[in-house]
Amino acid sequence: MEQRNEFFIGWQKEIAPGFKKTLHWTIGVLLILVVSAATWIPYYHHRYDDGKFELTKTSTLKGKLRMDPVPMLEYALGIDSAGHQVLQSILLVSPGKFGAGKILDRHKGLMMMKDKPVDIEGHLIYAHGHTLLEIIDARRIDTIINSAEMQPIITLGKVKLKGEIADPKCLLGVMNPGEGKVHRDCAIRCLSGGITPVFHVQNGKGDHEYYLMVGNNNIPIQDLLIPYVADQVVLCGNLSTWGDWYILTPDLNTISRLNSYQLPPVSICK
Amino acid sequence: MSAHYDLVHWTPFKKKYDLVILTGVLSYLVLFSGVSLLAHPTITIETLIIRATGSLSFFMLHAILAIGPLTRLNKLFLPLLYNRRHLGVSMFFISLIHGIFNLIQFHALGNINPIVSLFSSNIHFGSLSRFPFQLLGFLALILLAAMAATSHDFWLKNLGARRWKMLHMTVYLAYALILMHVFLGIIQYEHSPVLVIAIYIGMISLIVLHLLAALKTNREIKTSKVSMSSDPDGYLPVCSIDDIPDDRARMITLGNQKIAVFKYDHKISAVHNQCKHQHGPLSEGKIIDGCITCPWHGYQYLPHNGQSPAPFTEKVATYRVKILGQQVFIHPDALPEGTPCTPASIIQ
Repeated sequence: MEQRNEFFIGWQKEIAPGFKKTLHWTIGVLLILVVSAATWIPYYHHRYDDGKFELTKTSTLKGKLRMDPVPMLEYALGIDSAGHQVLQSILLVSPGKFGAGKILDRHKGLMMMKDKPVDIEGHLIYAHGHTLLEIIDARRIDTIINSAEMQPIITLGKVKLKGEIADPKCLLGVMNPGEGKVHRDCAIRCLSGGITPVFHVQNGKGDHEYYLMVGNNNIPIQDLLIPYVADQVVLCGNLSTWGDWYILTPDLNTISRLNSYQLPPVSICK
Repeated sequence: MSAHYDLVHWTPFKKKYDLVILTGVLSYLVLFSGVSLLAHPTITIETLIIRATGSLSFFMLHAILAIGPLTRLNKLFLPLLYNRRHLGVSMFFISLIHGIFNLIQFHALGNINPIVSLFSSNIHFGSLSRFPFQLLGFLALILLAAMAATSHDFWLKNLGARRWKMLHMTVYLAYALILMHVFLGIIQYEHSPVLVIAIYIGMISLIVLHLLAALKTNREIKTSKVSMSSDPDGYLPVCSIDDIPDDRARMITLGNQKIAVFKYDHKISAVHNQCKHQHGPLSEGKIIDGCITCPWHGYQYLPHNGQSPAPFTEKVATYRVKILGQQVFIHPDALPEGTPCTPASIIQ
């Protein structure tokens, strides 16, 4: 009966025992829920594929600047035992959601730099044996880099692949995770900004392959791929290798989305 | 209860309430960050902030929405209601951080304005699996912003309790938008069923609480309904004197009107049941220091005239009351708000 008569007024100093007891119980239950949620939610978050972005570290790399089929720095790693130069192909991008063109275009002597030795300052992005460089500055240098001619593009033939169209900058380290539905808008912005799209293929064992996507005659196809970004798709295309990277020229007519409700109506690759 | 506007009218209880909110928020953020860094060592600071603030604000919204029905079901939860708006404003600021970091992470530093990007990057409105879920979160944030901006009593007074309440009921629309934002967004990226199950538990708990509270309210309204057959003077018999506890009230429903009939100092008075502040149920209040005291925020009214004691200015409608034998009678025509009305005396 005493509890029945208890009354709570927030502006009074004292709280009746019944209310106080309920408050203590409620705070206890909330505390358990807070601890449980703060522990279980991050624990059960999807394990993404992690890369590294050296945002606070600036690297200066010397190499040859290639612009076709995609902006790339051919960086001389050293000489192998047979006396051949070992090159690493580093994909170039600009700060923010832009392709390399954004910053390279600022340099009036870009055409003078093309296929010439350059010194590029920037932040490295890397994962699974592939490297990107976010350019801060680039300049032509006179140092002779004992590189052979541009690494050849070797055609491998037609392929059919299942994977996701993404932007390599976020995917390989800037975002963690830089893929999937949550990242769709960002990937669209990155591709709109001129970053070369990448086709990310992952097998069940956790192995990753990355295919840089360009059109016939090295024409950029970002705008044509944007409708399919962040979806699981199946596509056919011509595959080649260029240095460390695969280059994929997709047949745009064969791209079809995969989802749990629809089996892919994939046409046979011709 | 205050006769003038303060930014925050602090009371010792409010300070304790806010301290509990702050402790809870900080505990969640620290623990979430720690576990995230252990489970995902390469997580970026932006992603960590987005995830921590997004999940925390969603969690807090559940707590906010549970308080209403909990207090309907058990009056002992009323202290949670007293300072709920601080919980709501805190939740809005945490959601705002979530929204700003999303905008920076996914839309800034690109070739178009981030807000334009938000509306134009993903336009797959016809597909559930590809729906632009960020827009749903943005719309919910706008609603939460409107509620946070108008949460002060200044707006309550100037908008009027009815309009203010309608605006603040859009919290349910915000919840629906956030629920869709989560289901059409992050949940489609996640692989673990644990998060989906947790969201369903939260949603079902809220639905069940609201249904139980609605059932209780309906039951109370049914039992409070009285016959509309009046005596020759137009008075309706509403209850017996013994049906009303001392210094408490009984709610009666006459047509669409809800009336609080109070017994105090061997007298009976009746006033309109809705508090002028946030439409709290005065019939669940108590006579304290000679005043009807609202159970929600302690607003007070004199039972014989429905006026708040000076310097306060709130007024509620009063009703004429008479007693015949043990029977209490009420005249169903409400008198203008604040009209003095002689209480009916209980003859021992």
